[in-house]
Amino acid sequence: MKKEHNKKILRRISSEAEERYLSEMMLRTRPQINLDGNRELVVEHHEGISEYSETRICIAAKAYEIVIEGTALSIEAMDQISIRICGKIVHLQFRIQE
Amino acid sequence: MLSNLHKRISGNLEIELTGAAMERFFSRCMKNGVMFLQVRVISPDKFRTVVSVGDFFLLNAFAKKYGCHIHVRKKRGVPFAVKPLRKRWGLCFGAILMAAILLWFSNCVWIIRVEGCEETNQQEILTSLARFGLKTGAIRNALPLRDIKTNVMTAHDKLSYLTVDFKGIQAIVHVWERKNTAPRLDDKTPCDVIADRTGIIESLKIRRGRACVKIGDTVQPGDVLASGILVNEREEKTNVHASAEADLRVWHTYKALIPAELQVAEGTEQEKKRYEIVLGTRRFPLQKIEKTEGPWYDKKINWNKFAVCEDFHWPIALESIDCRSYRPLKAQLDEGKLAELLRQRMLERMSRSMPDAEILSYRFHLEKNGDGSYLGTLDAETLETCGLEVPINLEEP
Repeated sequence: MKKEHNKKILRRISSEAEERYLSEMMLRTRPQINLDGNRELVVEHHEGISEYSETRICIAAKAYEIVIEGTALSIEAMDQISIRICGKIVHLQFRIQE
Repeated sequence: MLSNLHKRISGNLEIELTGAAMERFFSRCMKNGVMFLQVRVISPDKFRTVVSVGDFFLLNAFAKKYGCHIHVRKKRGVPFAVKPLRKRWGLCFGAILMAAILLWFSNCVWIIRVEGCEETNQQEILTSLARFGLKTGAIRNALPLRDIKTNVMTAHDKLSYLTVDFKGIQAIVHVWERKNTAPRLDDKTPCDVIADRTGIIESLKIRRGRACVKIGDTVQPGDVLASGILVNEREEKTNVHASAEADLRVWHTYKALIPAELQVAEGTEQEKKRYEIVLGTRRFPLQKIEKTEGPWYDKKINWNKFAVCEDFHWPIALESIDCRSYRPLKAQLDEGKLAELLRQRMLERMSRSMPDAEILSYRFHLEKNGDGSYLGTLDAETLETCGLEVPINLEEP
């Protein structure tokens, strides 16, 4: 009897924790863009790059594509979560994906 | 700095990637946890980048799928530096052994310097230090410094204090000698008793000798309280060891100036943690050094030493610093509270400087100067015991 009660409590706690985790994850997956002047740009929670050249970099995000245009653009670091772009940024555009 | 150190230790490769639809390849690799650094475009179908050794093996798996060619340009880091030495295990073992020996010996004291000796002999102090444990070759962290200091100070009467500082393999012993100490006279040496401060005699006890002053007299330093020369009825002189004690009423004045503008620190909720590696006497911060320190001045430092056993620590430690932010604010001075605080502090200071004196009365007043600063004055009347034995010059007529 006591074991079953404990199991119920554990199940409830785990489901609550799961919900909280999922809601946090939903919030976190929105892309975060951090622009330092026009020399550095950090994009977090991206979904990969779709175009890369010295004058134009396109980054796929959740519902849109971030287009960065400029000169001497380079990706200093990129991993699953974030991309750091350096160079002279001239133009930043959000392209809605349909 | 931490990431650079990590890269050096784990090793990295500079590679050139050639193929069509490289963006897709990058995205796929990133989704699988590969980290690319310094990605440069060489031509539309050729990229240059830096990856870690672990990620390089992952890349290989995807390269075949996306028809990408990988060319390794440079190999950097510890794994590649150590690779040629794999078969020369003796050399590696020797290097590790030497490093361990060096670390061990750098934790010992090899040079002992004694500073501040004027009347005492350096060699005597070195001998005493060696007797109580501080000698060449002693393990620095295992030294009972407090006991050594106490024992050496007890062994040498002329020393009033000593400190031991370590700088690398050096131990610098700084000694302070006792000054203005009255020479101890034995009971048979003829002497006078003189006053060593200015005051009015409140009470006088002459145990032996002839009284030269009486109660109510004002004496100055050097005035004879009791003479050791006794003259009998036949005017014959006898020299004795005079013994006397006088209680003097002495007046002291202490002054303290409080500046017109004072700042107090108001704590904010901001906190941050910093880490430093301490190697010997050098510190290496594990994060970017902030050139503008700002108001982060309340620091709590925690040490994590790497120890082999209780008595031996490696000369490397990890230091974590908890910093709390404070913002300076102009203090609003309350004259009443300031006067009370200053009065207490000055009385404490006076008691510390004259532990044997009895405070009979005191008067404290606080006045405001023209520039806004405050001047606190404490006039105190104390009862102090005086009487200094000085030998009689027998050669004088």
